[in-house]
Amino acid sequence: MLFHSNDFLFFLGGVLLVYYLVRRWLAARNVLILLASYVFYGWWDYRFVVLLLFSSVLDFAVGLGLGRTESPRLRRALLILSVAGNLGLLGSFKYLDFFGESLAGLLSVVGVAVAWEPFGWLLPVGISFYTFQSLSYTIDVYRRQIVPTTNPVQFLGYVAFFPQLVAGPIERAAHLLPQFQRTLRIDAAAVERGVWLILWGLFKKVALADNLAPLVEMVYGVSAPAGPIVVLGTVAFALQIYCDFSAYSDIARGVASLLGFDLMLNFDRPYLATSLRDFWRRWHISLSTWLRDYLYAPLGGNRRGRQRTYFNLGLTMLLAGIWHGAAAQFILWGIWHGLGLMVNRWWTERRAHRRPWPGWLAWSVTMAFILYGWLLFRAESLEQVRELTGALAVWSWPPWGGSFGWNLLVLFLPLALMEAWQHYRRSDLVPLSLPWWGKAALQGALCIGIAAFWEREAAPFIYFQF
Amino acid sequence: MRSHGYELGGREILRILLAPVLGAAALSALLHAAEALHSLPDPRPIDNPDETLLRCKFEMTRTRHPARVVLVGDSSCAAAVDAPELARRLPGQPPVLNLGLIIGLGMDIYADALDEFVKANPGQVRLVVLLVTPQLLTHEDRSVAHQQFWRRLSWNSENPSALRVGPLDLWLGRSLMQTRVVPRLLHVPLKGRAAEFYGFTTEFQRYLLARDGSMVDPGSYHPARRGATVVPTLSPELEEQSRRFRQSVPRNARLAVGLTPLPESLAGREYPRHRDSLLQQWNRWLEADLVLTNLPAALPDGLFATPGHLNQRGQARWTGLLGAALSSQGETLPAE
Repeated sequence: MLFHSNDFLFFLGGVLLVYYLVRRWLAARNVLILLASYVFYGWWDYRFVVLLLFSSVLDFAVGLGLGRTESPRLRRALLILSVAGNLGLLGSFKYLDFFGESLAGLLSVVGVAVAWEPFGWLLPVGISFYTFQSLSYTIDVYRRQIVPTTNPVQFLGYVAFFPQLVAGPIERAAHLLPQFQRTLRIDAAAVERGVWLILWGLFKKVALADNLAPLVEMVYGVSAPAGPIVVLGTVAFALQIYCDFSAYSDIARGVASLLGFDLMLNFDRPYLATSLRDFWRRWHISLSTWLRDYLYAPLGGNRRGRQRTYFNLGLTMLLAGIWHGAAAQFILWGIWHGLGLMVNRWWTERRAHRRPWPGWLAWSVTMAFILYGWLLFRAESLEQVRELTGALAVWSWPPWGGSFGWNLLVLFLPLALMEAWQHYRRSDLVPLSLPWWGKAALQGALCIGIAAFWEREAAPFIYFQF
Repeated sequence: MRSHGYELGGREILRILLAPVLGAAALSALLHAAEALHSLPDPRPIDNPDETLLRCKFEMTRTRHPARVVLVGDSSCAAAVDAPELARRLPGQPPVLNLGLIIGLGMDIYADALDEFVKANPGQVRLVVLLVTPQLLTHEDRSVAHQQFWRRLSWNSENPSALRVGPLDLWLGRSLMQTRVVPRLLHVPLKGRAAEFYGFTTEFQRYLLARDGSMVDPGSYHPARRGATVVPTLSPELEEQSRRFRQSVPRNARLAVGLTPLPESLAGREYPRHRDSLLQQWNRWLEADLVLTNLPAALPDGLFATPGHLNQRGQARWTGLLGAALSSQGETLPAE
């Protein structure tokens, strides 16, 4: 069920009520969360629950095994079992048809005819998120960074925790699992924070992202748009994907806060980044840190010389692109960012003893790079990438360009004002520092805005497709 | 072990939850007060393209316009004839208004539309041209949603201050936001080829107003398969509506009736004769002064946006043909 649906409102209300009733029993609370999470997930498609259960039970068992053996070979074998199981699950549902078709295509180029019948399996929602979350547990246990849990309810609840199950943040066991094992505090600050994050998240999704979507479709869903509209359409997509994705994370954090849980910050005003490295410290933080800790660092990170560092950066970002989906555009996006990070690193080293660029220049160059990356990401095919890139050189203005620009400005303003305020005060919870009447006015305005667009057919979150 | 503890009392929870509730209620009250003081912009609901077309034509029927020639019919009429161009091609260049609506509305609403225009512009109309797609004669395409929308426009225009509101509208001012505030803040984007041509409903409406009710369908027709032909028939259910429509034509005006063309791939060899026969049968009820059998029954596929709508090139061709057909009937032309 979608966060911005009446079903979820009733679901959450019911969970919060029962949650209050079981406040004296930790075991009962964890059972409630586990059941609620599986109901939440099964609401999409009851068949998906089996896959979630498989991944969770596998890694729980692997964790137990790692805790009981000191044999390096056995420990490595258990880890490989977990990695193979989770990535096998992910690969089968997400990438099998793509790689099969790509391989068949490549073979046909060299004269070998291979017929590939796609399996056409439905992509289970959230599979990219919970497999990574579960995998991080076994890797951390293997590295002896955390102690494996012996409580299956706690572990299954950790993997399936419904606020963040289908689109993150991808939580580390060291951060989330202990919260299933201890008494939680729900104070006024937690409730206030929860209400604020939910309202702001819903507003970003329902009022901003869902109104930006048709603007993006006007550019990416038609043929031969002109240069200025490609630029504005890509800006619209940059805002749409940010509002959509960060909205989910905000609502997830808000719901978790109402339950006394703390989830990690997943976005830190990424469009204020002044370098690509800075961007990746602010965008989808849970994924970028996951890739850093479980892929980049094991490959050697930046500790094995310059050439190897560039290779590690490139490979990590390539896999980041692949994580997003089985399509050439995502791979191209990953390669683009990989190259960008390499250039960023080289440039930083080269200019280490010189005066840095002015902030506005660094920001402009960074944003231009990121925007072109979004063009690659959003394009529906490589042909469209070529077409839109070529269109950037065609500088004409359609008669409806003014209306397009106006809509973009109107939708951008509330986001820009809020983020500027948060940036100035260095806190994403700065609205909670207002006096009560200020909070009432701001939150009331958000409610009015949400209600104005609520009745439309609920559009799913973009990151559900990954 | 204890699961969790609530370190806040009922008063604090109430304070936290009441903030957005009271804030929303206060802002909603402000909106309602502004509406009562007539300080809000006029209603302009968020429309889709069909509703934009209907709303625009609805306003046209109740507005002063110098048209002496009025085209009435379904959307094929709106797409087939460029009103300003037709005006140029007729002797005396009389102003032309295209009130082509949507097929699903039915002829009784076409008659209402003509009635309202004549009421708003008495003694002015000299020629009414009824142009519909052959599909309309089968009387199968009734759109209840469009009919309700048109009736709601009529109801709202007669009861402008009476907006139907529910409890959420009162608490959250939703309908006021949706009809008065949001449409002024955000233009509604169109989809597909319509988005490429018009962009937004705002530009679509501007186009309709600038072209006296004519529109361009920017699609392109690709016949699914050859060999399938259309054979429309005249439904007896259309008799009453046709006679009602005839009564809505002013006494001192002439009525011309025609059918918009079909793509050649759908028409079949016998279709022109069949089309003429249909028009003559229909005219028994309409009692039109001029039956436009001198127009082609079918045109090449490349002039169509859809099976029922001509594209821009097709519109230019058909407008020329219609102008010539009307000009050749000297006694039916409106006197200036």
